[in-house]
Amino acid sequence: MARSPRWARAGLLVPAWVAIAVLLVPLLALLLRADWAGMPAQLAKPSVVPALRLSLLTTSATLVICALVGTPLAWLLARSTHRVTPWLRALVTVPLVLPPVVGGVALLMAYGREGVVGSTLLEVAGWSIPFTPVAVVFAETFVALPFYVLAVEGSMQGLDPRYDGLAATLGASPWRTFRTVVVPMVAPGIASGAALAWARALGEFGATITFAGNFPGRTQTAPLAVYVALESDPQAAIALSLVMLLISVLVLGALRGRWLR
Amino acid sequence: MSLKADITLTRGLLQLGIELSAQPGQIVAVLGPNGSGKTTLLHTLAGLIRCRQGRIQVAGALWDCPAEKVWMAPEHRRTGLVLADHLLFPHLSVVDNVAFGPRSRGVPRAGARSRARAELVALGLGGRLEDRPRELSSGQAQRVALARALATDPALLLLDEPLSALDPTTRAQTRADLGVRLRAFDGITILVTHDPLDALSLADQLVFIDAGRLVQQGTPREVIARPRDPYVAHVVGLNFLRGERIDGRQVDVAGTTVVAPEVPPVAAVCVTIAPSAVALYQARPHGSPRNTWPVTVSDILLIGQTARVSLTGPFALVAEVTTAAVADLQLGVGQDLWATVKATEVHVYPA
Repeated sequence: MARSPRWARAGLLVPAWVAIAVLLVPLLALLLRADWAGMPAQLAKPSVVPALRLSLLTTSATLVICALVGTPLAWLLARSTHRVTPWLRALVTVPLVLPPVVGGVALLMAYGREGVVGSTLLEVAGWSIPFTPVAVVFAETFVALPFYVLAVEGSMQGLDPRYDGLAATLGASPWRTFRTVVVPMVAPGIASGAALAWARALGEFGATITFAGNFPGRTQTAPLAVYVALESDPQAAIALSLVMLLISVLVLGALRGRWLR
Repeated sequence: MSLKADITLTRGLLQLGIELSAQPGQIVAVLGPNGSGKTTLLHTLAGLIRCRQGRIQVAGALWDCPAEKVWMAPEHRRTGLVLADHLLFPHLSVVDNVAFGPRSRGVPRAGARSRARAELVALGLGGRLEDRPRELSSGQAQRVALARALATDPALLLLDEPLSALDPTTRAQTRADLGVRLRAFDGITILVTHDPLDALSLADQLVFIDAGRLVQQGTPREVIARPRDPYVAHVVGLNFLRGERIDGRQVDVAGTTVVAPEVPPVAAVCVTIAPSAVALYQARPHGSPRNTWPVTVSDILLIGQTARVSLTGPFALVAEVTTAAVADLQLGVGQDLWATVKATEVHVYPA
């Protein structure tokens, strides 16, 4: 096939290059403005280390919760033929498209001191969730769980349902089938769902600042610390941003082969 | 340990209504065209589909009976299922695949693995215990699937076209292995197949179903001698005609008289003629047998030294002739011929 002249393809090439520039220029700028020599000192600052530690802790907790409750939900959604299932699936996707700040407000209405659940919790158990590390985990789970469930459900739907029936005839209960057949067989899907959910939790900003606040060492996660540092200490903000960029690239690398071709 | 099943259900366009019974040690082959309900029947016995009406009773235990509100979940039934695709668990070794059933039924790990090992050794797979399923050939994988189904000591072994996905050479060998293993199995085997050779070489009871209904059942010998349905006759390789008795020697088939040595004294009769008993001539033979009909060749299929010639005429017939005869008669599709059948080769019995 003869190639069309260059000018004929310009109509496609120009917007395509613009798109690439839109994505790449900011990232390059971040790398260019970084003070590479001072990087270790920046990362050792008292505002940086606790934020990173908190982010690591809360996102790990989020991931565990997603796996524990999200995997069974994904399996039920994947295999249910009930007529409410499509509605339930739509419901799961809502936090995916909801502005995170709205999610934070909703969390306050539910678990705040005056909240629907929160007021009872405070009265009965004396627990107050908002503005604690637990609230950070709530916020992160709220935004990350849909990513996890949808990714895992997708791979579970690809699993031949005859495997379920066969395992049942062999004497396996639904729980045993889930644990010893389904989960191992969709392990790659679970891994990519976990990576997506974790990346989403790491970047969580709006719901966290609304529901958990911005207390250094307690609820100030890495993205919040970046935002705060940008005013007073831009180099610390850049250093933290680069750490998160590195992590994102590593996550993308872990998904390679599934999403990159 | 006997099976008594009476199953009624609707699934899509299929209306299934089948009664089935079998004794321990029996191998029952279920045959029928695609979509006739064979697989649905098997899945209902396994508990993957529920009856709408009827009852399934195995070894004295009630498995499914909507009228009495009894339904046993598949994991509590004693069945073993083998499908056309082996569907081995890809993340488990061969021995762990086979041990999966006993493990699920509460046998401790060591016991389950030794049971699995014994089952695999019996099927000649003692050297592949720690392999992954993807390292096996299709025939080996299917034998592992059989071992996995048998390792739970099922009362009902359900085989759904177990050989259909194998290539011809592997199929013959696997069929032989399957035969040996099934004869040592003391439960009931239900074998769904559309390959007559599977049914005739493995089963001691044949059940033919069509459109969800039982068409005929009996031992292979009975079915070969007296098919009662065109599909059954096709499976056992006979020409099958329905007719009406004229007298003790003659039958009216679609307006044409067919002469037989003997016609039973009932109005409606079935007529079978072996394809090898049909002789073909280019010109009407003189002093010929009384069963002589003008026919037209509609298809020719060569199988080794013989040819199966499909014919249209007063009724459809298949003639089996030698390849030499094909050359001598210069047979071709659309050619007009004369077919004759000796009266002694015509078999007539009540419909």
